[in-house]
Amino acid sequence: MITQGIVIAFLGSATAIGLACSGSGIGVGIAGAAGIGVLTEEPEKFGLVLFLQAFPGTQGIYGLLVGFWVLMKTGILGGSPIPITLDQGMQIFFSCIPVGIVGFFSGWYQGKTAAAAIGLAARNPEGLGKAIVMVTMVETYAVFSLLASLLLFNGITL
Amino acid sequence: MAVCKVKKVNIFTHLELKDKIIEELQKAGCIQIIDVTSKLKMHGLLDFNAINNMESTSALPEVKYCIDFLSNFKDKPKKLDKSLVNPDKVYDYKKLSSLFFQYDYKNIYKKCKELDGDLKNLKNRENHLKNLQENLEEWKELDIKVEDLEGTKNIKIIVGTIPSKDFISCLEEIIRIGKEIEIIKISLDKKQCKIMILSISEYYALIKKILNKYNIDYFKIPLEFSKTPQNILEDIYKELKNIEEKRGIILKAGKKMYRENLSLYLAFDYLSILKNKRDIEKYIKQTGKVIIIEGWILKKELNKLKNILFKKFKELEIVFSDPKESDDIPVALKNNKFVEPFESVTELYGIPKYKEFDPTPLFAPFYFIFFGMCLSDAGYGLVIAALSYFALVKFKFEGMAKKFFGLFFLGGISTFIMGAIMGSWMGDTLNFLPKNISFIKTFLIDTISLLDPIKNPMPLLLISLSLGVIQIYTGFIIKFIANIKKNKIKTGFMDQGSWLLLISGILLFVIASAIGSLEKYEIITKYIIWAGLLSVIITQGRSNKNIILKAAGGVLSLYDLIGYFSDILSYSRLFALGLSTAVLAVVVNNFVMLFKDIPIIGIIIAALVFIIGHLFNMVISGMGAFIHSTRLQYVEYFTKFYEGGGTPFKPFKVITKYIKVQIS
Repeated sequence: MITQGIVIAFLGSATAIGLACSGSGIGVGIAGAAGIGVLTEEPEKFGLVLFLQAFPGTQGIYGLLVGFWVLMKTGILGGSPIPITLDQGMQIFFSCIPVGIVGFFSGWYQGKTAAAAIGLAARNPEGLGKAIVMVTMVETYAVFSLLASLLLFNGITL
Repeated sequence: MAVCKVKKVNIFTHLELKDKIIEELQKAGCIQIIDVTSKLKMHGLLDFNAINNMESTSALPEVKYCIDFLSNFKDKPKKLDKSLVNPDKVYDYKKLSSLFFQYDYKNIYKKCKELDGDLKNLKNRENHLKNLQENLEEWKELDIKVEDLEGTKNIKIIVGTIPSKDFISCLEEIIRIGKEIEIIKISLDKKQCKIMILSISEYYALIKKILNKYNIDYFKIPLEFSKTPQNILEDIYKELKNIEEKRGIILKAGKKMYRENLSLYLAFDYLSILKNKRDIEKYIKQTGKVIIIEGWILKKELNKLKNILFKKFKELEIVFSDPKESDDIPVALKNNKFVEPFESVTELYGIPKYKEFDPTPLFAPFYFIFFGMCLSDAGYGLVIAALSYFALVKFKFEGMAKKFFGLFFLGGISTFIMGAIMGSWMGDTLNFLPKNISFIKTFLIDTISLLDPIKNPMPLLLISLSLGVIQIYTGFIIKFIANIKKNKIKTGFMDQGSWLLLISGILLFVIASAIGSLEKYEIITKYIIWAGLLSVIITQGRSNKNIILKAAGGVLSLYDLIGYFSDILSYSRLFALGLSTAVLAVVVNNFVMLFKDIPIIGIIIAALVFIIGHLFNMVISGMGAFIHSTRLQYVEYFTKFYEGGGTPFKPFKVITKYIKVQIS
């Protein structure tokens, strides 16, 4: 049965997936452009560049994770949604916000950091370890937002 | 700890022995020879480097060229050709040179050059012909030999294409010039019109002027031919076919040479060894009669070096000495084989300085647990452990690669253990087992599994944070001990002791107030907190001169407390990543179930989705597990006690790229 709550839950899932994946898309794009710049001169660094380009991709996965989690717990994915009240629906929506918004911005900015790291890896491969740490610093907040979303969602009694 | 002791070594000997000694040192592979040339500006020290074997200098790039060129002709190995060289065989060092000289790489190089040149010529000719072909394809209707289009002294011929819409107006303009003009329309379609204009030479310039106005595209006459376009096209077609055949022959020759190529690998490696030897000669001090080799050696290899050198030579003197503080002493790490793989993480950050201690054994157990917690799926753990073990056995890696695969192997085992504890086997796959073997599930989930983070996440979150507390605490204690060992007892007590007191107090307070039966101790913990606070305030501002600034500095340093707590919160990523692996695995299984009910092909699609989905999750989450466990060491743990920045010990030795060499 489709209730108003379910509709809001849809909105939540869409927010989480849509925003986080957009952020990742932007980030991976920025890093990829920098990567291609390096590859034109040093094609043998493909593996390394791909590895660094993949970093901003995690935000999208976190968003997808929360989105699917909502769809599964509300039974939408199985085809038989459980009746959710409007309040519960709103709760679900709010719990999706951290991973969506943080995913968008941290994906974007991690892309910039990853692009810089790719530039460093091209010139000075020994500095790679430290560059990865810098890139992971941005990731931290995406992980925290995932944590927040999961904990918030877990607090909802369905 | 596990930073190897290093000694400085000086070897004095006669100049004549130079080559032999260098060769022995390279074979021994235990000395890092120091470049002393930069410090030496003395006259009388001769530079013998100029006298080099010119042939072998050019040989290396030549062999490299052959290898690169022939790698284009790589085909699938049908069966192992019985050539001179086999990549799996281990070669005796002594035989390398005889094998090399028995092999005529110059000849191969010449042939490669030839083939390469031929191929390039063919390619150029082919491109040229293809251009012509494209051009002539449009003029097939022109039934005149192209040499006739040249015209004569009095008659000029113009052939070209003009836009169809301008055809009429252009025609009119040209006719107006004079009578001695013949215009032939060769073809006309919607866009273009091909025309040929014959005229006496007086009109030539005038006609051209008009035609240029109408953007004529002249027909480029291929002067190398003398037939009609149609016939030329046929010729070109034949020649192209011919080129293809020739290329086939070259390709065959290349493939045949590629099989001989394995000897090139040997040549390359042999020449590289020679080159390394020559390069190192630059580092050596020499006078008219004596050479001095200065280098670093690991203490445990002192005797090995002595044995090797004294057995072969008599006229030399080896002097060992302790390194000076001011020297940039190279660092080699030595750990047992469980800790060794984790050295890769240390190396990525920067290995310790010679006077520092090796942090690897100190973080290895944490890393082991963290990796498992981030991935936390027994199925994935088994797959990763099995794959890395297979890779380790099959490829026999060396150095960094070996350590990394070792790391993944241990990580896989840890993941397996953590996954079993959390009851995650490829997500919730166990739920879908057929009824008759469901006892497996009962055993794995109900008996072994201790936690279910998907149903009740709080315990796992608390465990993650507690691990953080433990690791940060360990970091402080390590620094404390390090300070005491360096006889900086005061610094140790003031910097780490005061913080340990404060943090312990807070932790004990939290424990005491959380557990009811410990309530009466709460007051004691409060005293500890006060003592800690006081000691931090008193000690942390001590570098300031003014007493007021000292106190203010102490109070300000309390701000660090927030930093330590955010460090601890950072460990919640262990929980978040672990949960995300589990949830993604469950999502994959959900998708698998959606496809299962489609008749016939459903089961195939379901199997594919299962494999690809879990593989994807394993790779992505595995990457996350590696990166985030590494980061926790670097950012949260190392900052408490570790500096790094040492130079690695790189002994002068036989390094080969393609073949394996055994030194007897």
